[in-house]
Amino acid sequence: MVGADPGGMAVPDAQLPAPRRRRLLGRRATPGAGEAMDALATGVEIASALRDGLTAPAASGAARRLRALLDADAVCLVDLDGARTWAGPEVTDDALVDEVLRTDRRAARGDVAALPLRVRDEPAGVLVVAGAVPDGAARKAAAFVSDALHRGRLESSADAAEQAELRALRAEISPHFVYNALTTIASFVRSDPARARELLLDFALYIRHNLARHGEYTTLAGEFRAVEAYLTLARAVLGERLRVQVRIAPEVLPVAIPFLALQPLVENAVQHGVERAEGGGSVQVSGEAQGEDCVIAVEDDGPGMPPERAQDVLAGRGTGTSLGLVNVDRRLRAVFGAGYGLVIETAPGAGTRVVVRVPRFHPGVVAS
Amino acid sequence: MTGTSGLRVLVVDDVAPALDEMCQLLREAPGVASVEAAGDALTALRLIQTTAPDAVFLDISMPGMDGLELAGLLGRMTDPPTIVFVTAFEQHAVSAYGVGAVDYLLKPVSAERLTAALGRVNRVRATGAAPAPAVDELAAVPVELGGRTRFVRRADVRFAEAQGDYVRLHTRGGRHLVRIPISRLEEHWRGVGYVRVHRSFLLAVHAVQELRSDVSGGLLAHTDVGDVPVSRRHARELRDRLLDAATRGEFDSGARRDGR
Repeated sequence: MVGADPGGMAVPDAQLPAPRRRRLLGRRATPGAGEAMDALATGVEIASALRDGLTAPAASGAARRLRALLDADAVCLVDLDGARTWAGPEVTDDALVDEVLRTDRRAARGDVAALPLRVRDEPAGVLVVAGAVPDGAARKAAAFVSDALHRGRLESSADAAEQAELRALRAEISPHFVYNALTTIASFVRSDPARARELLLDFALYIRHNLARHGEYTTLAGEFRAVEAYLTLARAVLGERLRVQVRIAPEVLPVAIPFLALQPLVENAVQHGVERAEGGGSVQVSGEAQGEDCVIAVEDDGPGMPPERAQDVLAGRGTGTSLGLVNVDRRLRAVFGAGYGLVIETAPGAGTRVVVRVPRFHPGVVAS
Repeated sequence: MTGTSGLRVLVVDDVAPALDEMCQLLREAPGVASVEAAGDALTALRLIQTTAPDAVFLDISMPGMDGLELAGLLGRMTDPPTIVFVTAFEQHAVSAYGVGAVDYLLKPVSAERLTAALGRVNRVRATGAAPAPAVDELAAVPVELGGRTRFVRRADVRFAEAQGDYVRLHTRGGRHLVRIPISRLEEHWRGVGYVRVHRSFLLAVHAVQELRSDVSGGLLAHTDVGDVPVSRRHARELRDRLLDAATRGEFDSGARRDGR
């Protein structure tokens, strides 16, 4: 855990005085232990300065430290577009850099050397070193910089992948529900045009909410409105088989939550708790304040499930609409922290209650 | 509220069924005197110059000159009509308010939402002409109790219920019958945190502890002195007022639980 975080290197730092004390006591110290730790710390600093590439603002710090480490007159980091980050007096290196980029091999004139930087065997730039620097040291520095660049790219692609995964985790509209709703509305167009019109307005609201892309967050008021539109449609489809109660305390209406953090839970309750239950069932949705938290509960009186199944569902081993629960769980944890996932209370024959707890005020989370 | 004549409105939309639908909704809406239709921006401009409508309901995405451009032109008139945008997609909301629209409707439009938009149009048109709010005469209401006159403080009233020409004021301390039509009471109390939620009920926004819905049309506002039915056409305004009040933190003071 600690090793994964450059900040964790503070731990070896704290142990630095130990070898020095030994030296004071006249014992044989491990040769160069202090210097090794210093070099390691410098290495970590260089690596983190290169996280955003060779020409990001932080890269000049890396060039400065490399220059000190190599005891060079000057060090220059060159990216593939030829943009340069210098430490020390600039020297003319255009021909050398061109040669390295063309041949992908080390090139030198006098005491100026240019070395290729590679990430995954692809050219990534050039390291220029001026001054009396041993060739081996320059090569090691080039390898180290290449490594740091590689790691930086891995980190940013991991960030991008996480963002993409969060976007992909948006709940999907259930085609099953959409066609049932449209069929029901088509029938009411004949028998009860006014009701057909009302249902179409609810359908528009439901679709609008589900297609929303403009912001990551909505208010609980907005999410509840979409849930009520969904339930109105579901009730039109299922008739008396579905009984519904929605309760919300006004103080939690402005609470910011990710889009569709609630609706998939309600759809799940209707599909698992009511559609499959003989004689139908009831779904209750509530939102209220409890201290600094907002507590939202979605409850059905359907068949329920063994608690182990609920654990499987949250672990992502479920199927069908239960995947909607995992999506919500992950998105809530990603936004509010690991402690803010779903809690499922269930047992066979005892219905299912899914509880969402979110902070009422969370810095940085603002509904659009 | 702009006198007895009612609003004269123009609807502009290039999609014919959408234009028909909006005209139909406006003709059915109370307070609308006349409705004209235009299928494009140029026809609309000509009609605006000849008939000078009070309000224009304007589609945003149209071929040729779009709604935002037309609104920009209208903004340079000396006495421009009030503009309400109507659109299928909400990406334009910010620019719509930028050109001075008073409201922004999403298609398909519900009758309740249209009523709210007309209310805004009327309020905007009345601004300036409206007299300063009258002295707050009804901050306390005299009631007869055992032959003596006492005063019920408005702040104690959770909701008022119409009973013919009387209203029954519901407070934590009890219920009091007062001779005043609920519409008169509404005029006095509307600006100070009360909202009409039903033909027979006027509700204190701060008194709502919970909204309860069975999604088949029944909506109740729960207060500590009883539940108040909310009719479908008033539901939206109540929800908006509750969200506004909650956003301002008005439910966090604990005041309502103390009855103050």
